[in-house]
Amino acid sequence: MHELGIAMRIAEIATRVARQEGVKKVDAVLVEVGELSGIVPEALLFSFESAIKNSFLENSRLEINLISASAKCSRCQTVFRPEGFFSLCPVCEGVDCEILSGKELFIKSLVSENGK
Amino acid sequence: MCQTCGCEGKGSMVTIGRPLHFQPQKLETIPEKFRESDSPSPLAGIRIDRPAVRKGTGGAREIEVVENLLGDNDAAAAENRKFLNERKIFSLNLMGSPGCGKTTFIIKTIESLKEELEVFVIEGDQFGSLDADRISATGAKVIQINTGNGCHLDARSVGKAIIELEIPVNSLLFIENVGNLVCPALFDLGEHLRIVMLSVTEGDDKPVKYAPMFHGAAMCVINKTDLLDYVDFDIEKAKDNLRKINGKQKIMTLSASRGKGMEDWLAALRNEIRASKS
Repeated sequence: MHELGIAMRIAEIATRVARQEGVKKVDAVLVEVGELSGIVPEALLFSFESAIKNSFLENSRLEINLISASAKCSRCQTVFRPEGFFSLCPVCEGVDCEILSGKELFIKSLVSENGK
Repeated sequence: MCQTCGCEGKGSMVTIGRPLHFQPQKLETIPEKFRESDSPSPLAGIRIDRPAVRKGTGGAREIEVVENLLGDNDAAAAENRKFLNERKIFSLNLMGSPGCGKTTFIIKTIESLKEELEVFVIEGDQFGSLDADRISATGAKVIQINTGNGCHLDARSVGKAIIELEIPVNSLLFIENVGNLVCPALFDLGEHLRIVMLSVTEGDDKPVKYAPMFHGAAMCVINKTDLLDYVDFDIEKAKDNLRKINGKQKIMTLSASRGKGMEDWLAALRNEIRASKS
């Protein structure tokens, strides 16, 4: 249920930036979503469709880049892909692991195919 | 509507964020054997670890935005933190399920610290001022924020409450969040110490079931230990679960209502306050 709110925010930011930049038609909105960000990408795509109905972004598509989680063990320095928030090191079973990526949640850019 | 979790929050919670100019970490640092991300997603529109690269075909234009989708709250939280730091006010964001004992814990802490520290409280609840009334009875100054249909406190409403409380230098500020183990985890309030409370009546598996909440808190207080004889709560198992989720977390066990373990908590709190000022 987070996703509709996030989709609405994406649409607002995209609309504002497009107007500032004088873009007439936005073909794609690119977002980066970490797999630990608490967002379900499929739900975000679905919500985006609702969020842009009858708006400036009507025919835009959302492109999500899902960023894998990565973590680094502070004991043996192994970098690994944690399973969710279980950040036990797979090599030394250390518990002190720092999440390097996977929490991202931001709008990256807008694309206009014909440059206008 | 609240832009993050869909709750019916107040209008002040929904303004658009400011850019934070951060760069996501690159996955290239991960050894091949731990990567399983090359399989295509079944849904068009989702790529995995493949940032879109736009080649200059037919004059397509890509406009950089890079705006954090929780940015507005983060900016307000940074302002709160700056304000509190300048006045050497130490602040705690206390989270946990409804009924885990947050208010009692705050009241007992206020009573113990009466002689050494002035304590201020921001109370977050959906409705009413029952908790604020209880805290007010201790003599501490308290502000109640009613979130209505909202499920968490956000940095902007807390910022307003901080100003209104007129907290003097070198005080302590407790922020009691709305009883909820999900949404509050996403919202930085500008606090110095984030505490999640887990009572033994809730079960030792809660850290696993609500991992983001327990992952984000620097300290976990296991409360109501006086009831351990009556419930199936395995303290060691709970601690194991906590360590799996957050290996750096400090764990306290106590009974706020009976007082057992409160001295250790107060000592830990004094340490945290001292460390924040050095």
